[in-house]
Parts: sequence; structure tokens; C-alpha cells
Amino acid sequence: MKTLQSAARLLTGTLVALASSAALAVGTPAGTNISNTASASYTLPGGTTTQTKSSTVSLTVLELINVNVTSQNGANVSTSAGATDQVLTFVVTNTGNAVEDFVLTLTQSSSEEFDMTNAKIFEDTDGSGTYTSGDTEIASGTGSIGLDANSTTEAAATIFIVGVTPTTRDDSTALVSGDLSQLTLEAISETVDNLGTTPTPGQRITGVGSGGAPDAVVGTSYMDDANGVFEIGTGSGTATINITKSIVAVVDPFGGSTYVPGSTVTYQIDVSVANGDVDNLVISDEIPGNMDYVAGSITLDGGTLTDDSDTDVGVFDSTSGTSGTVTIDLSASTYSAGTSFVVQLQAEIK
Amino acid sequence: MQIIKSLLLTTLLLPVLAMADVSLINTAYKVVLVEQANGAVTEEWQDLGRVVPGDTIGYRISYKNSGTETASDVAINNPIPKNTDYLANSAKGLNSQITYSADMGQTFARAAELFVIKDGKQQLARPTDITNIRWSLAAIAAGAEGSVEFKVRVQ
Repeated sequence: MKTLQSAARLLTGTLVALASSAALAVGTPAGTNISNTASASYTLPGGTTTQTKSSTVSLTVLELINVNVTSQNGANVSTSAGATDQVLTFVVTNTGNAVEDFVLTLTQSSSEEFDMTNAKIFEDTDGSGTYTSGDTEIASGTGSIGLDANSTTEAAATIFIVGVTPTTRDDSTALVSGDLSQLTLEAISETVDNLGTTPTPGQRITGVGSGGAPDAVVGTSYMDDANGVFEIGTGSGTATINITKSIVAVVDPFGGSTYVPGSTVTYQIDVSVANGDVDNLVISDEIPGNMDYVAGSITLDGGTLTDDSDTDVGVFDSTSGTSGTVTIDLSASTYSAGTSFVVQLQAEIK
Repeated sequence: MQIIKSLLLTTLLLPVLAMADVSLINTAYKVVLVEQANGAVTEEWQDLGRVVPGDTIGYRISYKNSGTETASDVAINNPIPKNTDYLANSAKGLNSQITYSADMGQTFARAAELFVIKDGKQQLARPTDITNIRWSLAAIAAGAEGSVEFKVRVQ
């Protein structure tokens, strides 16, 4: 810690001039001596002026322990089932007036739908601002980071919580859009942590001050925490839709199965839902430019659908696209994983 | 030449000390607000226990004239210690006129008339601009004593 501080002192000297507007988060550094001497001048009978001085009264500023943790995630961080290296970003700032170590702890709230798996704390040691393989893991609950409140560069650290999004909720049901996982990063002064008891702000801990101060004083914020939330997103939600389109039959004008003008091609679209629920499912297929849709040819799971926009879910819109578009609108219901649909339609080669 | 000067000073000073002799004692206190049993909050000047940034320090400068004659045109001067900010309106002193300096004691003026130049503009000095305080007393009679005080906040 000594080394860090001397280095930091040097840095402070050069950096303060450059970044005078970027005020340090701290007050007078621990160990600073504040001395004060009063003087008086007065006139004696006869007109001579003389001077006197008081003795110097001095005091040493002790170490003040304070820390601030802020979440850098403006909103919930969108994630999806099974996604790896999902990152929440925090900044831990030493708002005291000396070098202090802070123990970091990660906790997961049990009141949300899912917990992240393999969640770990990393310090942005390479200073990139984003989680990279070069960052250092800090063991939750035991690992600590050293921060120098009196340095413009060493006072704060960017901390990542990195985890893997599970494939299901905690209760093993499927994840759906909007499901949440809340994680908390806590930082506590190691000096206070080592005390073993809960201190009261203002409490003086003797013999442990840093920066030349004999003692440390527990500030009002000797520990602090901040939350970050992962949310199963709508765009990158857990559910996936698998679509395959295939040609299941070709009938040419001569009773054969060649692709020639006049041949009727039967397309099959297989749609299946996986990994969660889906809402607003709409299947559409644009008829290729060199083909004509065969009127009344839409089927869903074997049942015929009319081309008109009416009570059934199938529509052929001749004005959409070059040769019209077939749409199967299944948005009225929510479909869960495992649901599948088979759509067929026919088109004739021009 | 040197010897003559020293002698001259000695002869001048000796009777002088017997006539009026003002001494100063400067004491620092920690200023804390204490809630009393009746709910009222009062300020207490306590012994300096621990000091951390944000704390308020009160300095009391006691003066005494232990000479046999009156000291006149007394000016007690105290710079604002480094790493502290003067707290507005905290300088006090009976029978004294208090003036402030924002230029390390070169010039003094009343708080309402103390200006600084900031960004090329003349502005009324803020408490944090103040570098020195001066208490001017017309006289301290032989044997008289008193005190002046001010408060600062540790940066």
C-alpha cells in the first residue's frame, strides 16, 4: 500500500494541474498536518509598534473511511437464455481521504425469476471499460481492491459482474421476456471488515490509519452497494422460432414433376417454438416474382384457410411484394416451447 | 556597527516590555452540534479528539496584556490554515472590528467590501476565498484579557 500511495502522490502532483476541474472525491488527505499560528501587532505608549505570536496549534487529519458504489447500467441489461459472458458494470470509488482496501461481495436476489449461473466479480484491470479476458477476478466476499482516494487515477475502479444466463427460471419453467435477475455488488472497507463488529459512523479505529494518520475514522458510508438487473429481452428473448421451408411436390402440366412454366409447386413451411413462450407469432411468405400464387391453396396443419382477410388466420395479399404474400397470423395466442405448425401453399411457375 | 545596533535594540526593548506586553494563546477545538435532552441543538467546542475531512474546527485566540501600560491599535492576525475553508460569519471578537483578506494578508476589508477577481470579473469574495482574518482592537488595557475566535471546515 505504501508503494501505491507514493506513486499516487507523484501522480497527483502532475495530474491535478492538468485536470483541476476534475475534482477529487476526497478532502484533505489523511496524515495532513493543519497548523495555525496567530499573531498580533500593537502600539506601545510612545508610538513604537511591536509584534507577538501565539504558539502554533496543530492537528493531524485522520483517515476517513468512505466508499461509494454506483451501477453504470442505465437500465436493465437485456439478456437471453443460455447467453454467456453477460456483464453488469459498476464503479467503486474511495470517497475517503487515504489508501484503503475494499472487500467486494456479490449477492443474487432470490425474489426474481432467475439467478445467473457462475456469476463472478472482475476488476477492469486493463482499463478498457469493457469486460475482457485481461480482467482480474476478485473472489466474492474475500477478494479486495485497493483504492487511493487522493489520486485522480487510483480513486475509482470499474467492476464487472459476469455470469451466464440460465436456460430456465429458478423453478425450472421456461424463461419469458421480461423475466428478471437482480445482482448486488457490495464494497466494504477492509479495515472495518477486519473489525469483526458493526461499527458506528464516527467510530475511531486506532492504529490502522493509512497515509501517515495514526488512526482511521469510520465514515457514514464505510460500506455501499448498488444493484444491476438482467432482463430477458424481447428482441433477444429466450424463445427461438425454427422455420424451414421446403418443396414437397411439383406437378408439371404434363403430369410429371419437372420445373417448367405451368408447373405447380407445393411449398411447406415448418415452424416450431423452442426455449420459451412466444407472442405475436406471424408467419409470412412472399411469392417469388416469377410465380403466381394458386388461389385457395393455403393450409395450416392440414386444414384449408381462405385467402381473404376474414375469421381464419390465413390471408393472401396480392398487393404485397411482386407476386403477393401469404400471411398466417397466429398473434392471438401465446405458444409455448414444443408447439409446431405446418403451413403449405402452392404457386405456379410463370 | 553590528554591536551598536544590538545594544540599541536591547535598550529600546527592555523598558518597552515592562510597559505593555500582549501575549496570545491559540487553541483549537472540535466544533460539534449536540442535541440536548430537550431536543435543542447546541454547538459545543470540544477537545480536539479526532479530525477528519468535513469536520468543523474552532480556533480561539486568547490575548492578555500582562504589562503595566495600555497596548493600543492592536491587530490580531490569523491566516486560514491550509486544507481548511473559513466558515462564513464565524469570526467573532468583542470590541473588535473584523476584516478579511483574500490575498494572503496584503489587503484587508470588511466581508461586504472584499472583492476578488475571478475569470476577469470582480466578485464579492466567498468564504472559501478568505485567506486571513484580522481583528482590530482600539486598545487592550494593562492586565486586560479576552479572546477572538473563528471556525473553519476541514476540506
